[in-house]
Amino acid sequence: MDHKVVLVGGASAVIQKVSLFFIPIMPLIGAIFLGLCVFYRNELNEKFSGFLATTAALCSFILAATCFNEILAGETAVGFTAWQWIKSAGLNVDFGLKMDRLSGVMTLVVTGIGTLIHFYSIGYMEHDENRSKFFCYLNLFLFSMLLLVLGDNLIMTFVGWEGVGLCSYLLIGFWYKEMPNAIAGQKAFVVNRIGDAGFLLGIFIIFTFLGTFNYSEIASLINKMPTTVIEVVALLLFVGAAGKSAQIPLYVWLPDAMAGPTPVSALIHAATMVTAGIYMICRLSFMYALAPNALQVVALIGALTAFFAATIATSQFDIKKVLAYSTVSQLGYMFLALGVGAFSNAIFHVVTHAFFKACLFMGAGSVIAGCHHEQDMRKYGGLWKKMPVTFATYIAATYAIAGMPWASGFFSKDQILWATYSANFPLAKFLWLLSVVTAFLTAFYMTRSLFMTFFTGPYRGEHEAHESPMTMTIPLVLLAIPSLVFGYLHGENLMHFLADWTRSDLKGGHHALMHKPMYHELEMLSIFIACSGVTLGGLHCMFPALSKAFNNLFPTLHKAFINKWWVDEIYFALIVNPLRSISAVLFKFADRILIDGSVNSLADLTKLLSSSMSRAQSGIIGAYSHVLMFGLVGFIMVWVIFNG
Amino acid sequence: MDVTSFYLLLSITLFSIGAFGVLIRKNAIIIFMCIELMLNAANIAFVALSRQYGDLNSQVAVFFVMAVAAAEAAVGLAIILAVFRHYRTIEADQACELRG
Repeated sequence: MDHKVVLVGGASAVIQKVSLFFIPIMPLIGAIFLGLCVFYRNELNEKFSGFLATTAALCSFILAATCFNEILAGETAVGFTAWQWIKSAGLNVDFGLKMDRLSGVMTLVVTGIGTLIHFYSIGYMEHDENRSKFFCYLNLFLFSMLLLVLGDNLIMTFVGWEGVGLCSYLLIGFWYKEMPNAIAGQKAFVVNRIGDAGFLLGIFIIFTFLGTFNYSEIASLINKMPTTVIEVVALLLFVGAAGKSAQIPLYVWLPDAMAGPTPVSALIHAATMVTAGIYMICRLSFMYALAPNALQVVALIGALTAFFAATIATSQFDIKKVLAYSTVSQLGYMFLALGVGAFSNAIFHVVTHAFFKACLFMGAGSVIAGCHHEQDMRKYGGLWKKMPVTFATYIAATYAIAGMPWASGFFSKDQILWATYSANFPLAKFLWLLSVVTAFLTAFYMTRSLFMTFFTGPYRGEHEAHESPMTMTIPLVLLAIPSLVFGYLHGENLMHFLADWTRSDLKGGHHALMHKPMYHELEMLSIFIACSGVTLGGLHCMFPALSKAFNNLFPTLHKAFINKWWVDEIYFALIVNPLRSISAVLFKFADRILIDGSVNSLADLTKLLSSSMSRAQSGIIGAYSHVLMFGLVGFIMVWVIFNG
Repeated sequence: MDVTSFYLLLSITLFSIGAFGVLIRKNAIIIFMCIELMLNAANIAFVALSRQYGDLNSQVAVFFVMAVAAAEAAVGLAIILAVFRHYRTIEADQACELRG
């Protein structure tokens, strides 16, 4: 009896490990095959690339669900070390994967939404001539993201981190033949890299003090690091997270990243890549719990970013830009949650945000495709009749993001607001106020985008608008449903599930979930804020005279919002242009004159020497015979004198 | 004075005349004659010392030197002929194009 159980246990463990290993490897295999499709391009390959990619993503999802099942059934984690990657004196890094509660949830989100977006892209990229390249990049992205999330040590996470940065660059600049797209891709990569510098420094410091990269080993050894060092490391890692997850001051790449195809924006810049920073901080929550000052910085920057981006989103006319700034704002909420110690709240918001933001982006993509690539909302109008399914899902997702009652956005945002309110540090109430105003602004600008797109004004586009094909609308529906009901059905379960894993939540989290002072009052306030935001958004669109009057009241503010607070211009003036001038000077002086000059003068010296020496070869035979004779005589004389 | 010394003195004299000739003369054939003179001076030195020590090996060396001199004269005269065909003169100073 016992014997049988052990055997079965052994077999199922192997199946678990193999499934775990193939979760990131399936998209890698897909990417390799699609890479071959790109090289040997023909009609057949192009048609099937989409299906191949989606199948790979779907397999990943199924395997992830299998492993996650084990975790739901009671295991703490499923781990698998594939091979020993780096082994040198004292520096050991394994290709190790581990799925525990946190990475399980993230993996399901990544693979599930990834699959839906792959499926959506089949429809969206139907007329593009580089489809197979697109799907190859998408699969490569999934592979990197899964490495990031499932890696059991900092180096694996960093490999995935860089990989998603690369894929983001490739995908943003996918239509690189237009210069602005290529520039946007480069901007994303460069800004990301700045964050990566901080991330790497943090990793180096951890390794110097603890000698390991593995998360569980770091967790057990963390107390050996002095507190100041932990604070510094936490801040450095946060710099990395700010770069990847678009917080102040490194958020500037995200709005420009909208130059990429819409499925890219949906997958990378809404649901998965930008949440990598939050995942990383949650992974190292035990370290952040010991660094309260760093957490305060995180919370402050998160709240400021949320507010700041929301103000910009209220005045944008490009539908994708509104959603981009909305993403930055919601990511700010997640960092705010992390900063007040409510790690499981942040992940809850990650999940709900993934649902409704991906749905919104895909809906926007559907609108854009249906209106023949028109992105300016001022040209939209009356589309609710022409695109019913898109309209229904968009309004559902807007309802969720605005925090309207009983949608998932309501639950997750509310948890964060409440956690901020009851947090223990001095700025908490101010940050709470900021986040409440941001919630109002979120409801406002989302309703504005909804009305401008689907209701107000005659349709002023160039071509007739039409509804999108089934491949695009099915994922919309599949995402709209959880946007509405996930929070209600599974919100509490998810938070408990995650809180049991994060042993050291500060204020929000397990204990605080139990007793919630002021919770109902804050809930009422949130509902009021959301409803007023929606109402004002609707009024703003239905009565343009009202909004014009409002704009004239605060002209500078209005200009600031439209011009994105001139942040890009400031960066150009303060950082980019000085760097370019310094680089020009260095090129003209240090490179050309100093370095090239020294190398060239060495060559000139050689030429000088050789030309002076070659004068000895005169070609005159008499001279040669003279030298011969006298040299011989002299040599013999010397020899005789010195050797007797 | 030793008999051998006289022969060696003769050898030295002939050698210096030959060396002097190589350095001074312009005509290539005369230079060759002087080279032959130097070689024969060496031959005399060989024979003298062979007579002194009663060792016949040096006389074998004389044969070698003579054979080498003959071969070298053949090759050298062929080169002078080729140079003459190109420059129409055999003055050594005229063939100075191989310069650096």
